[in-house]
Amino acid sequence: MNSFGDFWAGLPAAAQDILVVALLLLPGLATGLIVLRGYAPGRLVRAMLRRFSVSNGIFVCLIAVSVAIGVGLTAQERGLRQGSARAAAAFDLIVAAPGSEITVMLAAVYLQPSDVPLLTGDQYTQIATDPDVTLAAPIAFGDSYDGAPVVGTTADFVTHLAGDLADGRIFATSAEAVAGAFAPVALGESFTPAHGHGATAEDAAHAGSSYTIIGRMAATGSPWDRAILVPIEGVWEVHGLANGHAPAAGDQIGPPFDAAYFPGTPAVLVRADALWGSYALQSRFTRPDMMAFFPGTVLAQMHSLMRDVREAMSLLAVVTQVLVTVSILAGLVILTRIFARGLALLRAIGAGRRFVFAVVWSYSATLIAAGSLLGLGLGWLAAMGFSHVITARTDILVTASVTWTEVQLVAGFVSLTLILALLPALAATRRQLLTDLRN
Amino acid sequence: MAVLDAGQHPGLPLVVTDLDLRGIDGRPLVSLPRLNVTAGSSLAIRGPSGAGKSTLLHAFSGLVTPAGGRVVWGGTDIAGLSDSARTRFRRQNVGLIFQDFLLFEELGALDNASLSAAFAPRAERAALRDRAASWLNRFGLGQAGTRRADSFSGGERQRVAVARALSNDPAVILADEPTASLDRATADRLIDDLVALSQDSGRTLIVVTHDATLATRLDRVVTMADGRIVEDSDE
Ligand SMILES: Nc1ncnc2c1ncn2[C@@H]1O[C@H](COP(=O)(O)OP(=O)(O)O)[C@@H](O)[C@H]1O
Ligand SMILES: [Mg+2]
Repeated sequence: MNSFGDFWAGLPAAAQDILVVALLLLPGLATGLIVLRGYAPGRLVRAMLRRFSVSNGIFVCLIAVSVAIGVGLTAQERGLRQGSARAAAAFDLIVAAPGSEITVMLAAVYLQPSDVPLLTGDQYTQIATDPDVTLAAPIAFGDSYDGAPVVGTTADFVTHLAGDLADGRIFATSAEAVAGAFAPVALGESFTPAHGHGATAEDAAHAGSSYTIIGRMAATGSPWDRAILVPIEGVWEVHGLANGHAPAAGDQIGPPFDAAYFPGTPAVLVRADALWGSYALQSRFTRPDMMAFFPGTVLAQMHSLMRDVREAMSLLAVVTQVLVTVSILAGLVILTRIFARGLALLRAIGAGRRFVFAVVWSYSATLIAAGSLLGLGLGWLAAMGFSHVITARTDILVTASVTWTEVQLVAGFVSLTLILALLPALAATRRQLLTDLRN
Repeated sequence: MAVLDAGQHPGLPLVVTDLDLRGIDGRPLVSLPRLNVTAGSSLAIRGPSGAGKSTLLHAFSGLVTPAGGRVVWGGTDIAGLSDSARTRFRRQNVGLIFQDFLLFEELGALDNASLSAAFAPRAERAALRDRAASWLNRFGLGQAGTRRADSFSGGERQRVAVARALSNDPAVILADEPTASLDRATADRLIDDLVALSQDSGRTLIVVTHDATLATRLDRVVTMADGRIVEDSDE
């Protein structure tokens, strides 16, 4: 047992996955081998499939749709989970005023506007000057342009988030801006930000102030791709606040900030050199006047909270598949009745009951296998389609793809239904031969 | 053609005694104290509709289990066999022909004629298909092997059905109103073929027909009414 465990663990992941698929298919395939042993019903089954090609096509489509729902749902759910985690990956540690971690995470990582209490300049300085901290970026929200949030932060954080710019250069003055990969602005374009977001945004609130786009970030797969990033000094100035630096500092952009001229920030995005450093920082900044958390951890907690929903969803998908399968088996019994005369003829010219059984089973098995394969493909297409919609709506890059999990799901379904297909086959052998022959 | 060689099939003699055939409800359908059919001879069963001709023929092929009596083909009482043994007996010894041919419309002529290859033991399959092909050839359907059955005329369909009945090289041919769906000329040719088959190769041939003219072409004619034989040309 133990040596098998070692052997299994030593296999490459792909080999494990393929073996699991094979194991799941085995009962169905074994059933087929036993049922078909010694017979060659291929031509006959093909003739039956051609006979009622429309009904057969509908059966295949029904199976395909139910399989596709199962495949699509699981692939989509995983894609969404991975996409949201990927979007948060660049955010190591977030420090904010005490409150809801989820609210701060939604605001800072996913740029969902919300009112959160601010950290003061002193608090920010304590974070920024901690020896373990390599990057401490304050952020400022509240403005938007043409539906895209205008986010104030530091040049270092932009580089940390997206690496080298795809185009242009990083902002160097408080009137310059870098567009997210998909932000609706062109390089060189100047714009005046509106105060607030969406329908309630006040276009005229910041009349007289403007930013010019001088660079574009590479795509990050997060809502930041649709944002316009500006120096945090710009946001503060547009709102008539101190710009984080003493007047003597002139046009300085970026850290260090002067606590006395720091208007406050809803969150500081913090990076440490090493993982242990991040953990040390988290415990150091978890104190009565601050909270520090890893978005990845909060996300994992949310995902695990969602596990019940996920399981309910999988259960629903399975129930759908079982219901469809049952109705298909019932349909097959009816179709078999239409074939009854041909099957009776087979018995009359000397075919045993087992042959009739094999013919009906092969016929059902072909429909099931074709429907399941088609369903796997359809589910994959559906997952891709939904991913596009979700990506467009949330700006979280969701790439749902069919993985071994889905293939295994379908393999299990195929095996189960191939075994269930023994029932209509059995029903076909229980018929009154002479009555069927005379009809 | 080797398969047409006379004398290969001594046929099987049929001895029926005290046969009692009943419907599912127990109603008596056919009662036959005694009937002997010589091996290799041909017998016509005539009579009005509902007389019990088909029921009797099905008892000869083992498709109907008698409530009593014996149906002995060359020493084997098929009335006493299990269902699967009777099925095997049919596969090995009986060629069945029906009024409405009972072809699989989506299969070609050859696939229909060699239908039993699908369930015959692997070793017999090739011979079965060869025999089916050569019978189709002999019936002028050699070129039609892959044409689908639903493109055939009635006469062609019945020829495919006869080729199917002969594909297992049966000692006995049982036909239930094989000409009823055919026009006169085609019907005549079919009966000629069947009689020739019986005479040339010694197969026992039993044909149910309500056509008096056709019936006289066979060695012997019995007439049924109300589940009984009321007339026998040999007595
Ligand atoms: N499927 C059936 N179920 C019950 N009785 C039947 C069935 N078919 C025929 N019969 C009855 O069996 C009797 C003999 O029928 P059959 O052998 O078909 O006569 P024939 O072939 O001489 O016309 C008739 O009384 C008929 O009503
Ligand atoms: Mg009849």
